[in-house]
Amino acid sequence: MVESRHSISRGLWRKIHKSPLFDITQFVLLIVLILWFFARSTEQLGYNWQWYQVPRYIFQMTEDGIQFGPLWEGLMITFRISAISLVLSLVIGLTTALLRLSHSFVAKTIARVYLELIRNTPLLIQLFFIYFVLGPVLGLSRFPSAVLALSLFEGAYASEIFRAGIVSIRRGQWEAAYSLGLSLFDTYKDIVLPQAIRRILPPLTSQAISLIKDSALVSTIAIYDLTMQAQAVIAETFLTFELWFTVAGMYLIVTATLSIIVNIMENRFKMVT
Amino acid sequence: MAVCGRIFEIVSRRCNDNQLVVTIPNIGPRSIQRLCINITPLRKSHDLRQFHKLFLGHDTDIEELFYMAFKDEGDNIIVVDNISKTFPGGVKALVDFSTKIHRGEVVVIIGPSGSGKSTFLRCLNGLEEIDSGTIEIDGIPLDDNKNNRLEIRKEVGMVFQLFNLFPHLTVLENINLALRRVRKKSKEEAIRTSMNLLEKVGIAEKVDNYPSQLSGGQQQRVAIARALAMMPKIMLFDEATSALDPEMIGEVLDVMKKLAREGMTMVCVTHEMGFAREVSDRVIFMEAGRIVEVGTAKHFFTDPNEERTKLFLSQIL
Ligand SMILES: Nc1ncnc2c1ncn2[C@@H]1O[C@H](COP(=O)(O)OP(=O)(O)OP(=O)(O)O)[C@@H](O)[C@H]1O
Ligand SMILES: [Mg+2]
Repeated sequence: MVESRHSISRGLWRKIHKSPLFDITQFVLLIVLILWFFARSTEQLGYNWQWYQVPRYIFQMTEDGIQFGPLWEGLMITFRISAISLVLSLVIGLTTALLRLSHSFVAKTIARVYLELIRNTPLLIQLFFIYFVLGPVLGLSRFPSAVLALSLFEGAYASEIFRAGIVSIRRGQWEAAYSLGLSLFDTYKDIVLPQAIRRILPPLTSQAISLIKDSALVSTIAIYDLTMQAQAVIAETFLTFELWFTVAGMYLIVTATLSIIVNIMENRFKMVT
Repeated sequence: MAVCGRIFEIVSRRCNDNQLVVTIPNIGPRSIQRLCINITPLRKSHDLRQFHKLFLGHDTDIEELFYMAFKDEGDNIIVVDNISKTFPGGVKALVDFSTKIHRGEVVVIIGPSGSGKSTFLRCLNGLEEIDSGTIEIDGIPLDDNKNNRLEIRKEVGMVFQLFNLFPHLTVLENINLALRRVRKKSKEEAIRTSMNLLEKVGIAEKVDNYPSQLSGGQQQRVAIARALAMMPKIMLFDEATSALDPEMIGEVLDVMKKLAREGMTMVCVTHEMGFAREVSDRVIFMEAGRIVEVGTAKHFFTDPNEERTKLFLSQIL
């Protein structure tokens, strides 16, 4: 008797748990809580919100058409650095993964040293090292230094993702390709990578999002990316909270867009099962 | 030449003679041709009288005769000399293993689990490295030379127990791939060849399906077609029917039998004794990395010499 009552209440609980109403209630509660928290804290700070000031730092309409503000320009810089670094980090990541999986001792060692070096030091130090030490030697200005640092850093993580994806392909696939006489290059290109990419895509997306967020660090070598522009505007206007919220929102839009694009790609890659 | 002609004459007469029951499943031009090819070595190594006695006696079994003919030197397409293979764990998978396989011969390998059957097949196309000994495929040594290796991989087709089709490619693309990349065929030619092969294995209507949309038997037939697309001289089958539901085994065996009748050199690891009996020229029973007994399928059914063979057969039959 006791047991059956127990199971009834469990079933009820599961029903509640599954209904969309439950999710919505949760969500609303969360929002209310956050708003309350901010209201309280700004009240105590005595902060004077001036949201109406913000849009013109992004863009404004004048007689001559749209005038882009510093935040928009910063966003474009962030975009460019992230995009170039992303492509480079994928190339570096894949190359390193292939080196690590090769049979050559030298190649494996090089890959290993690179990985350990990058993963065990902070990105900020790497950035400074490349800009202040390597930069003058190699003649790298700010922008290439920033791109190089970001690509090397994210490339190390990307390579682990690639490697995991490649080794997850069953041995039988390699053996079938081998017995058909396919070259190593063709085996990777036609058999292994197309299958691995489906497994690699989700973690690689998180890595790309990290890259976009990490790119904020380039402001430390005085590149006027989104973060740097925000700092500059705040120094002038003291719109601290409004601008930081806006900038966070802009990063969020970029990363969310990336996620959506990858999602669409993923669906296109889906295997027929 | 005279002997060859004479044998030919006897064989044809005996086959046409309705009075005599000749119990061979597939006596035909190919068998006769094979017999003639192997006359020279036979004369060299066997007493011709013994041969005649065997052949002309009433209980003569032509299958047995072919076996005799095949036993020694001839047109060897596979020469395996004294190979050994020890796995890193210390397992001796092959121990001083030697055998020769003729062009057009169908060899069936049987033996208990872990006896080294798969390892032997995998050594033949270089999927597994041997520790010592030599392997020669159609005159090409399987050594460190990359070109030799590639040549051998092209000449030796392999069919796996778990099919190993490429899941992200359609049936047509699975078969096409090596034709395009390795044989460097034009797209049209590759498609034409693939379609012919699919017709041959009886699944031409599935060209645009993905492997996961096919039954196990169909997948294995695609895998056979894929290996055949390379136009190999030798086909290796590693328990090609073991992963299949019983009702699908037949369709795959039929394709294999067809291949055997067309004169393909085949080395098959299988426990399908019906298949062995119907098309094999020779059965090798191995255990613990060594050959225990060699003979025709019939020999294994009727009077195997070794106790271990008897024990094993009593378990699988
Ligand atoms: N990659 C490997 N590493 C270590 N040991 C191995 C490896 N492959 C096979 N072996 C061992 O070598 C021996 C022979 O294996 P093999 O696969 O050739 O046997 P088999 O006759 O094909 O058996 P089965 O009928 O089960 O397929 C076994 O003892 C097996 O455990
Ligand atoms: Mg096996």
